[in-house]
Amino acid sequence: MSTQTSKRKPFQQKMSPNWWLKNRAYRDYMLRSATCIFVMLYALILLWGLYALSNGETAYNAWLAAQQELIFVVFHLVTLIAMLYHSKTWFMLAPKTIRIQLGATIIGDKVIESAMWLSWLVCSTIIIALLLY
Amino acid sequence: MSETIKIDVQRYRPEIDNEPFMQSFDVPYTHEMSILDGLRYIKDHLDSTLSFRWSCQMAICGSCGFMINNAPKLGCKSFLRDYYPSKVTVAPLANFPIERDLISNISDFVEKLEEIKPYIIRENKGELTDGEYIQTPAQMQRYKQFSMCINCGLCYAACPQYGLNSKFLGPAALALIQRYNQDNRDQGQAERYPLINSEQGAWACTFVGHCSDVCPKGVDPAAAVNQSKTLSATDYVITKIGFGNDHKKVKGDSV
Repeated sequence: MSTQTSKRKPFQQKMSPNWWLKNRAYRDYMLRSATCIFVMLYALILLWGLYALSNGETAYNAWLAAQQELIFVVFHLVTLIAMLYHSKTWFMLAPKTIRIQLGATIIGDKVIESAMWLSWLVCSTIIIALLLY
Repeated sequence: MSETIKIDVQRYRPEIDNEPFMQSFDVPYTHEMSILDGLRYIKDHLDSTLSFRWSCQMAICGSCGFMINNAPKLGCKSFLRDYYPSKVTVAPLANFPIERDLISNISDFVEKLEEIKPYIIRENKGELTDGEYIQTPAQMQRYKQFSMCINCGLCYAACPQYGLNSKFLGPAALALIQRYNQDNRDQGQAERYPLINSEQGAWACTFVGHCSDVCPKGVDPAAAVNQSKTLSATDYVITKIGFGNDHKKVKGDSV
C-alpha cells in the first residue's frame, strides 16, 4: 500500500457580491425582481387609502388630495413603467411554466406569449370601457 | 506566417499554488478550430502540464464544459472564429470546486442526479414474458426534451442560486425529475415529490432562467423546474384535502 499523501486541494470558488452585474441575463433578472419593490409600495399606498376610507370622508379626501402631489404623481408614473416591464418579462416567461400538448405536438412559445398579450389587451379594454361608460 | 490567437487559460496546480492564476498562450489559428482544439494544441505543443477534460468532441459526452469568456460553454461546440481576433479566456466551470487547472469537481452534481432516482420505477414489476411497456409518440413527447440532457453541468455554472447555496438540487437534477415523472411507464412520482417539494427543491429556484440560455442541448431546465412548481403546488393541495399520495410513508422522505 502506498504511503504517499494526496496532493488534492480543491479550490472553492466563491461568488462575488457584484455577481449580478457580470452578464445581461443576471442584470435583467435583478431588474425584473427589483420592480417588485414598486408593487409592494403601491400596495401599501392602496392599503393606506383603504384605511383612510374606513376613517370617513375627510380622511379619504385627504388621501385623494395627497395622491395629487407631485411626488406621488411621479411615483405612480415610475410604478406604471416598472409594472409594464414586470408584466412583459413574466409574459415572456409564461411559455416556460405552461406546457400544452395536443397529440404529439407541443404548443409553441410564441402562441402562449401571444395569448398572454391578447388576454392583457382584452382585460384592459374591458376595464377602460367600464371606467368610461 | 500563420495567424495566431491569444488564449488566456486559468491555471491551478494544487501541489504548488494557493489560488488560480491566468496564463497566456499564442495558438496558431484556423477557421475550423474549436476552443477544445486550441487547448489540445497548448497541451501538445506549448505546455504539457495543462489539465482539462474532454472526450467525444461532438457535444455528446458533456466532458468539456468551461467558462469561455465568463460564459459556460462546451469547448468542442465553441469556435475560435467567434472570438478572433480578440483573445479568448478559458476557466473551469463556475460554482464547482476546482480540482486542477480547468478541471472542476462535479461530484456534488452527480450525487444529486443519483438522488432523484433517475430510472423507471414500477409499483408492480411485470414478468419479462409480458413484453415491453408500451408508449405512444405523444406520450414520449411529454418528456423527450428533458431526456436530452448530457450532464455537462453548464446549467449549474450558470445558476446563481446554486452558486450561492450548493444544497439547491439545481437545474439538471430537477429537469431529470420532470423527465421521469412525465414518463407514462414510470410510477415513481410519489418517491420524487418530496425532493421537488423540499426547501432545496423546485422552490429554491427564483427563475433566473440562465440555465436554459446556456444549455447546449436545448433541454430548457428552467421550463422543467417551473413546471415542477405547478405540479408541486397541485400535489400540495391534493395531499391537503386527502386525495393524494401520503409522501410520509415513502422510504427516505426528507420533508
